[in-house]
Amino acid sequence: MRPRIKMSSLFKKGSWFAIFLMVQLMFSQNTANPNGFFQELQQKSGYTFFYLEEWMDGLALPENIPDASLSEILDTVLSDTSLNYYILEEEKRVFLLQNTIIYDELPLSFYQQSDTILQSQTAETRGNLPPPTFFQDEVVQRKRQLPVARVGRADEQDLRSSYRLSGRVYNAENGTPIPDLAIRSGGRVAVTDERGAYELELPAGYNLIATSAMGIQDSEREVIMYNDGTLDFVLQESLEQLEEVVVEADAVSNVEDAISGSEEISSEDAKDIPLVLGERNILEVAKALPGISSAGEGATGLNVRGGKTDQNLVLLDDAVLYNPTHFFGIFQALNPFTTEKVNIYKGAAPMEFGGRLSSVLDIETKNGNTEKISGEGSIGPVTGNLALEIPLKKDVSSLVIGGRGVYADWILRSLDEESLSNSEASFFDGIIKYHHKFNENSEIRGTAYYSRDNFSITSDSLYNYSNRLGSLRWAHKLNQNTTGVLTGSFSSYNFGIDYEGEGNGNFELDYTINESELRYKLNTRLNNAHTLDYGLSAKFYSSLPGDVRPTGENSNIAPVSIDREQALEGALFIGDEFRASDRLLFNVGVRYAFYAALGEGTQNTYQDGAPRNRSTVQDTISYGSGEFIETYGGPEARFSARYLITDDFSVKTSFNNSYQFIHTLSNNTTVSPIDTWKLSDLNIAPQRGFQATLGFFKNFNDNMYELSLEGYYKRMEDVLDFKTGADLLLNENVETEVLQGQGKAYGVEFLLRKNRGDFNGWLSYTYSRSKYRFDGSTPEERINDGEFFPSNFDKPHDLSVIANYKFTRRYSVSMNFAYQTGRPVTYPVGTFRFNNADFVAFSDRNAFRIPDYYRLDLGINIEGNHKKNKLAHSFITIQVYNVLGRNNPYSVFFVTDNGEVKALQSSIFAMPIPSITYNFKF
Amino acid sequence: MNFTKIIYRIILGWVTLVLLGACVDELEIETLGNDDEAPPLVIEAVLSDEVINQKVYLSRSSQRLDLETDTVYNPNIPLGRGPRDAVETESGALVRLFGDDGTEYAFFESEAGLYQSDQPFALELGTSYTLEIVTRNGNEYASDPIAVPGKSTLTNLYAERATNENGEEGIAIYVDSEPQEGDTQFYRYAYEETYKIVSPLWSANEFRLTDYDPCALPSPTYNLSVVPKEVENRVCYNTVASNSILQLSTAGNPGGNISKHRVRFIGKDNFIISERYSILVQQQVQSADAFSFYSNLNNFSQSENIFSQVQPGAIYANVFRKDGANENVLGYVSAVGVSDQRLFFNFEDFFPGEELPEFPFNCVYQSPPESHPSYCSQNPGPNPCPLSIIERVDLGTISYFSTYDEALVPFASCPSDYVVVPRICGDCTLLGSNVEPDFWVE
Repeated sequence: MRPRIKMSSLFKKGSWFAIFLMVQLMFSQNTANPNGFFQELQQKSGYTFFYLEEWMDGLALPENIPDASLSEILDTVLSDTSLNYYILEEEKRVFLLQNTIIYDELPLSFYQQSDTILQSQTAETRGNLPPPTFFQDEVVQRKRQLPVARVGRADEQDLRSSYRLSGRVYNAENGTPIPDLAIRSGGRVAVTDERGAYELELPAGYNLIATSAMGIQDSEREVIMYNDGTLDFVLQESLEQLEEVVVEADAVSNVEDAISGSEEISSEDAKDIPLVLGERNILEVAKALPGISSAGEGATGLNVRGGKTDQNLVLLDDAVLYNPTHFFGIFQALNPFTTEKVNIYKGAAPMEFGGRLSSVLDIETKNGNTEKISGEGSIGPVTGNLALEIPLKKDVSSLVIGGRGVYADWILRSLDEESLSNSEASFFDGIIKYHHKFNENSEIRGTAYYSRDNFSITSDSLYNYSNRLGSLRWAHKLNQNTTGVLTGSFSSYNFGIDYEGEGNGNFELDYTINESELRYKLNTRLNNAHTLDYGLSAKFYSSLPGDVRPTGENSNIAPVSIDREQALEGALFIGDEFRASDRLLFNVGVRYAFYAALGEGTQNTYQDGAPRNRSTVQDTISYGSGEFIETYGGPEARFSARYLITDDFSVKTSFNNSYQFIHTLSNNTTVSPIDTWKLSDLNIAPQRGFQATLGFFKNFNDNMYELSLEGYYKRMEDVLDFKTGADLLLNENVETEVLQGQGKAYGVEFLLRKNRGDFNGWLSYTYSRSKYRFDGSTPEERINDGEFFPSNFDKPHDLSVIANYKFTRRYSVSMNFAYQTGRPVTYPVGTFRFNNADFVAFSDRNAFRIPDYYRLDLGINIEGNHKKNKLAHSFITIQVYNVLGRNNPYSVFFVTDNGEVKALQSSIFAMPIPSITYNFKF
Repeated sequence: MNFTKIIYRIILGWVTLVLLGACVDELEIETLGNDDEAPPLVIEAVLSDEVINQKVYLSRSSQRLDLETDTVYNPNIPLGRGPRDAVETESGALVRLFGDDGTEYAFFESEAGLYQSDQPFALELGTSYTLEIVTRNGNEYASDPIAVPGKSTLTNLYAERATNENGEEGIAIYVDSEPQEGDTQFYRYAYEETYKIVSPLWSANEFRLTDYDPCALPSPTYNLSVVPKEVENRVCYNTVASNSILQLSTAGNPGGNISKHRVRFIGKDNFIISERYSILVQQQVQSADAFSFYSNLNNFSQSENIFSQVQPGAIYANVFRKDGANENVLGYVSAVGVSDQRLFFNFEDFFPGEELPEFPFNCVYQSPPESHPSYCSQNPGPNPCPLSIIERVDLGTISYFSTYDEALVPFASCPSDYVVVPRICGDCTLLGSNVEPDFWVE
C-alpha cells in the first residue's frame, strides 16, 4: 500500500488538472546524449525533471528538436518510447514515467463514501481504466527468475480491456525457433508456428504466462500489458524422463508407423461410451471408427472396408473366436474387465496373421496383477460381470478370472406371464488367463475361454451356440537381437437346435468346427535399418457340417449326418521393417499360404459349363483318410511404406493380397448364429482379395489432435453368395447352391481425434461403396443379370461422433452419435395370386434402400469418491441409448399373412433405452 | 399385489420392451410405378393322379403391393360394395397337356382364368407330361417335363387337444402316412375346411321394404312390413381352402413313414370350431423341385425372426417361352400323387362343458328411427338420430330381431317400434352358404 499513499500525497500538492505549458523553448544545438538533453531542457524551461537514468538507454533523440512548447517537445521526443510524462505546473516539475501514466483523478473507490452522482459520471467517462501504476516487484522477484515484462506504453487515448501480445520463441541452445509450443494465460492459449511466432490477446494489466512443449523446459513469465506489444522468449531444452518419451512415441505412432489402417481400442477407454443397456462393447465402439460398419443394429458381424462378415479374423489371445457376440450381436462375448484392448487391422495386417481377406481383430486379455488381489465388476440391468486378478507368486505369476452372465432369463421365468413363457435368452462367458514370467528373457501365458448362448423364440425350439478356445504362448529371447514367440491354440465353435414340438418331429441338430494352430514367429534386429519378422504356422481344421438325430421314441426324423470335413492350412512368412532413412520406412513382406482339403470324403464333379445340380453330376470321387482332395495356395504380398514429410505429418501407402480358405454359408441378409462355416474343397475355391491404400496422417498440438485421411480400393475374387432360396444346412452337396463372384469396394476415411484433455473423443466419416457381382453361366447362377449390385452393407455415408467431457474428477458426460445411409434391401416388383394367397414377386437384389439411420446416445459417468481407505472404488454410468427415440428401420420385408401381402419394417431399438450400471473395483 | 411382484413387473416391462419389444411396424406401401410392359404371367397348376377335371389357373401379376383390403368386415358398408382386390385373370388362352406316352388333354376356360380339362383324367405314374399354353397375345409357353414322383397313402387324420408353440390352447390336426410306391420324400399338404355357422341373433322374420322413395316430400314414402323369412339363413356352411404352404421332407429317410405330422392348429377361441367343423386334408407327393419352389416362396413371405431375414430374390416358374425369349413367368406347375381324408368334430368333443368361442362380430341391439327427413327437403335441420331403419334395410346392413324392447335397447336415442341387429348377426349367408354340402355328416 505504500506507493499508493505516496501517490495520493503527490496529488494533494499538485494540480487537479493537466496543464499544458505554453512557454516557448528554443534549442540551438543538437544534444546527442539524452541525459544531457534533459539537463539542457531543465535549464531552459526552468522545470525540474524526475526520471531514472536507465530509462534513457536507447532513447533516440530526433535530429532537429523544434522550438516549441515543453509538452510539444516531450511529445515528440518520447513518441517512440515507452515513457510518458506528467507536468506539475505549480511546482514546476516534470515526471517521466515508464509505461504508465499518472492518475490525475482519484480511483473510484478512493473515497469510501463517494458521491453517487460522481461515481456514475466517472463510470460513463472512463470505460476502461489504465493498468495499475505500481506493482510490487520485489515480492514477485524473489520467486521468478525472469523480471516482469512490461509491454507497451499506455495511451490514454487508447485504453482497452485487452491488448495483443506477440513475439517469437527461440531455443536457448541454438537459437532456432521452437514450433508447437503452447503459451497459456488463464483460459487463453496460443501455439507457436514453425517460425516460433505466436500472438495472444491478453487482458490489460498483470498476466501470468506459462509455456510448455515437449522437450522444452516449462517456464512462467509475468507480463504487465500496457498496450499492444511484443515479447520474445528464449527457452531451455529439457531432459525428459524415459517413460514420458515412450508415451510420446506412442502418441505419434499413427504418423510414424508404416502400417496404416490399424486402430486400437482399449477396453478401459470404451467404458464411458454410451451403448445399449449400458453394456461395454468394444466391437460396437469399433463401428464408430472409419471403415468399420455392420448391416444394422443387432446384426452380428462387422463389415470392414466393404468386406463380408466372414472376412474378419477375430483372435482372442491368439486363438480364433468364431462368434464374438451374444444375443444376435447386441452384446460382446468378451468380459470388459479382463479385456485389455483390441487391435484392428483394416489394411495390410502383420505378417503372422492370415486367412481372412478384410481385417484382423486381435483382442488381448490383461495380464494379472502380480502384487495383490484386485477385482472389477459391474451390475447392469441385464448382465453381471466380474473379473479377478490373483497374484500367484509376487512379481512372477498371476491369474485372471472373468465371468459374465445374463439374468434377463431369470426375470422372464419368475413371472407367470403367458406371452413371455415361451421366449428365453440367456448367455454367459468365462475366461481364465495365466501369466508367468520366468525371467527377463522368457515368459509364458495361457488362456482358456468359453461362451454359450441359449435362446428360443417359440417354445418348441431351443437354439444354442458356443465358442470354446484355448491358447498357450511362450515368448523368449534367443539372443541379444532375436526373440521368438511360440503359440499353440485351439478353437471350437458349435451350434445346435433342439426341437421338441407336439408332433412326432422332434430332433436335435448339431454343427461343429474345430481348429488347432501351431505358430512360431521370430523377430531379429539385424541392424539399425533392418528388423526381420519371420516364421511359420500350421493349422488343422475339422468340421462336422451337420448332424441330425431324432429325439424321443416317436420321432419320425431320420438321422442324417454329413461327412466330416478336414483341411490343413499353413503359411511361411518373412518380412522386413526397413528404415531407408529417417523419413522413409518400409514394411515389406511375403507370406506363402498353403491349403489342402483332406480326406476322407467324397466329392462330386460336374459337367463343365452346366449349372451344378443333381442332374449334372459327372462323377463322384472318393478320397481316403488323409488324402489331399485339392490344394490351393500362393504368395501373399504385404507392402507398406511411410514417408515423413515433417515430424508429425506423414504419407503412407500399402498394398496387400490375401487368401481365405474358409467361408460362411448364410442365406440371410445379415449374419445369423446358425450360419455354418464351409472349408474350401474341390468345388469351392478360396476367396482372394487385393487392397491398395494411400493415406495422410497428421498430428497437431503436441499429439493432442490426430487427423487422418485415407483412401482404399479393394478387389475380391471368388467371394461366396448363394442361389436364391438356397438350402444350406444339412446339404451334402452345398456347392450346388453356392455362387462365387467378384467384389469391389472403395472408400475414403476421415478421422479427427482429440486424445487428451477434459474434452476428448473423435469424429469419423467414411464415404465408401461395396459392390458384388455374380455372373454365372446360367440364369440361376446370376444375380441381377450378372451386374454389380450394392451389398447388404453398402452404406455410402457413415458418420460417427464420440465425445467425452469431464466436468470434475468425478463427473463426466459422454455422447455417441451415428449417422449412416440406409442399407440396401431387395424390393418387390409386384404381387401375384397363388395357392389362394397373394405373394410378392422380387426381381433385382438390393435395388431399394431403407431410410437413413441415425442415433444419439448419451451417458453420465459418476466416479465414486476418491477416499483412500475404502472397500471398493465405484463407478456408476447412467446411459440413454437412442435418446432421440428414432425408429431406425433394420429391415423392410414382405410377408404373406392370411393370404395377404404386408410390408413390414422391423426396428431393433425403436425407443430411448435408459440403463444404469454399477461398476466397482477393488 | 406385494412389493416384489410390483418390482418384477416394472423390471419385466422394461426388459420386455428392450429385449422382446424390438418392434415390427407395418409400412405404408405404395403402388409401384406404371410399367408399360404386360405384367408377368402367373400360372398355377397342381395336376394329380386322381381322376378329376384337372385345373390350371392363369392370371397376371399386379403392380399393387398393398392388397389388404377385402377381409375386414365393415358393418356399415353393404356387402359387395367395399374395396376388394381383383386378380387380373388371363382369359382366352389355349391350354393343353401332353404326355410322353402320346396322350394329349385339352382344357377349356370354365370361368375367367380357370381352365379345366375337357374330361376327367389322372396322371399316370411313370409318364412325363408337358403343359403348353398359348396366351391371347399369341405367346407360346411350355413347362418343364413334370411327373408324379410317387404315391403315399394318408392313413390317418385325427385331431387332438394341444398347445401350440406360442402357448395358445386349441385343437391340432395331425396326419399319418405310409409310402406306397415311387419317390416319396417331399410332401405338401393342402386342406379345405368347412364349418357350420349358426346366426347368433336370428329371427324367423325379416323386414320387407317396398315403394321406398327417400326423396318424397314432405317425408319419405315407403311400405315397411315384418314378414316371415323366405330364405333360410340361420344355419350356413362356409368352406375355405388353405392358403398357407405346408410341407414336409423325409429326405434322408426315403420310404419312411410319417406319423403325427401337424397340418393345422385352430385356437380354442376361433369361432370356426364353435359349431361343427370338418376338414379335408389332401396329401401331395411332389418332386424335389416343387418342394424347393414352395419352400422358397414360403421363406420369402414370412418373418421367422426379426434379427435375421432370409435373403429374398426372384423365383420363377418351371414354365418358359417356347421361342426362347427371356420372359419371366411366375407360379408353378406340378404333378403330384395325392391321397386325402376327411375329419369331423365338434367343440364339445375336446372342450366339454367349456364356453364356446365368441362370435367374432360385434352384435349389438339397436333401435334406430323407422324413417328419416326427406333427402330432398329444402331445410334439412340437424338430424340427431342414427341412420334410419328404412335406409339400412335399403342398403342391406341390418336384420330384423324383434319388436321394440326397452330391456334390449335401454338408451336408444330415437327408438322405433323395432329392435334390429347388424345383418351379419342375423343372416349367416354373409359368412357362408345356406346349402348343406353333400359330404356333410351331422
